[in-house]
Amino acid sequence: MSELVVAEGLVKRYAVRGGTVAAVDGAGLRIEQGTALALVGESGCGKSTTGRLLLGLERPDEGTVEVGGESVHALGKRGLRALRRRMQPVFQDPYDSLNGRMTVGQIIAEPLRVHRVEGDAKAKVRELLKTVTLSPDLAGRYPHELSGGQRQRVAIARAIALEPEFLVCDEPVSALDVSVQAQVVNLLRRLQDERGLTYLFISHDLALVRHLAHRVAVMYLGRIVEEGDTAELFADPRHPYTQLLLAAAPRPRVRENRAPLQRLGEAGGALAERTGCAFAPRCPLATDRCRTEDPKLRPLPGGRSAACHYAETAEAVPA
Amino acid sequence: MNRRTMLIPLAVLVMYVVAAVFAPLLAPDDPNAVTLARRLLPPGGGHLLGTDALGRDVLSRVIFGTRISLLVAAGAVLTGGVFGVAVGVIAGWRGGRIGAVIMRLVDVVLSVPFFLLAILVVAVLGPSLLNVVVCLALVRWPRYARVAHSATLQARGRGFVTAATATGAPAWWIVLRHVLPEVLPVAIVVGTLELGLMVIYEASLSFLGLGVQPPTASWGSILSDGQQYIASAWWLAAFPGIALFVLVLAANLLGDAARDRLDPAKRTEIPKARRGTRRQARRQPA
Repeated sequence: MSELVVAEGLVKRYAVRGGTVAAVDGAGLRIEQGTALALVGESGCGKSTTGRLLLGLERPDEGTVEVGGESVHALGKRGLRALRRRMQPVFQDPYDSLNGRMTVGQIIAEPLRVHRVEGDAKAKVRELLKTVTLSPDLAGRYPHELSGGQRQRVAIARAIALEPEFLVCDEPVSALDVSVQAQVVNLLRRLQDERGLTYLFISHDLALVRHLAHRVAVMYLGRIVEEGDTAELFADPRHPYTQLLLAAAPRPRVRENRAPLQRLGEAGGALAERTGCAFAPRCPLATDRCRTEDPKLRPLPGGRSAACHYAETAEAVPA
Repeated sequence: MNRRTMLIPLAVLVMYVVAAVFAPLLAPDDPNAVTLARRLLPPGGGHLLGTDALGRDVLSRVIFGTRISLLVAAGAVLTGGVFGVAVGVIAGWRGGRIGAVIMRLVDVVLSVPFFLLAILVVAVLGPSLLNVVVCLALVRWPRYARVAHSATLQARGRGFVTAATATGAPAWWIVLRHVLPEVLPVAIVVGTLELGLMVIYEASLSFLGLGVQPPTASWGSILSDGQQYIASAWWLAAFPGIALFVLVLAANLLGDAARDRLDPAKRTEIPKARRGTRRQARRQPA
């Protein structure tokens, strides 16, 4: 299997009052063809920006993105347009991502029209609606007549209209009712099986990530701090942040929920010049070395990697 | 205002349009026929709204004046609106430095006193119907540019615009299919409100002699002619004034109604699920 998506050294800074904030600060990702990589982390850690960088919706200040061997940000207008057929987004909020003034049929057909795809667009739309388990009769309806789950499926139908290889799903179910979440997740899974799609799955829902992703990358303040196969990473997280993040996730059985961990406080420091590990101010295991020397993301046994000086031994959560 | 009450100002507006279009058929007399023998006749009798100092039939002049008022107002709203919307959308879409420069220019034009500019335009181009339209459009386009700019900025942040960009749609496509449909309703509301104002401005310019030239009848010029007889012949000023007042009122009511109907909060729609809900949930202690 080859890598469809390779991103290296991505940096994206935004100007704010009093300086700049690096929303993404040296993040790199590799996604094998036909697999799903989940990108997890708390709000504001740069997950969504990373997704936008991969799709070429934002220009990175540093770093490169390659999708299918093509360098996204080095392409001209034409080349990028052609590449966009191969990668598509699914956004969090299907109330916002569908134009309320267009019918479902027009929305799904738009990518086909943009790329002047030959053939019967109407038939194609009906087929796409069936693929996402919606009735073809919905083509004449407007988004406000649909439920949230239906709308998200319309958004997915639009995303797969051009038969892309790579989908960036940015919190695709977190705006939906729990009861519909499963349907949409299963749809995404089925599409992957049937079409060999490659996913970047941006989420903060760890249970979902476990269900859907082959590999997981954990992001903290714009960097990847740990990466590994889903099962292994969940079973034995090596970075203290991952350990705390997993421990904080609620469990289905109340008795198994742990007593509240020590409060982590807010993730600060994105603005300030920092020396040492970005997580050090919040890390219960931080040492003087952590505060002065920035740990690089380094490989660990078993195809894992983590950015922690003490990755081999760290246990931030008492067993 | 509900659908039914909205029909009243609409009907009034239609009435004015009909009066303007069919003026030669509706007017009892030639609006410019001078007959000194029948000067300053009060309303009633042979002349329903009386006659002016030159013996011209006031009703006929008011009806013919409707043509000027509507033509100028519609022309000014259309030219100013199209230009302003184009400028606003470009500024909003391009954003950055270009957008900022354009919007500062808009602020500058908005701060120029209207009559000063009007006098300038007329002094340079000479008074004529076309120049009145040019002058009004020149002063009023920034209004449309402002609202078009903010509506464009809003649309640009919407998910469907990002989705279209990600599809590979070119900018013109996105602007025409996704941005303009968001901008136009707002611009139309401004247009209806501006319509009433343009009628007043035209009358003001004609009153000052900067608009249509005698003997052409315009509400403003009739008012101006009647000014010196205001104590003895009230009908000269009253009737064009009433015609003006009713038209402006109808246009404003229609504008308000249009604005209400386009206000998302007043439409019945499923409330939007917003990101805030998730953030709030996460902010609780871990």
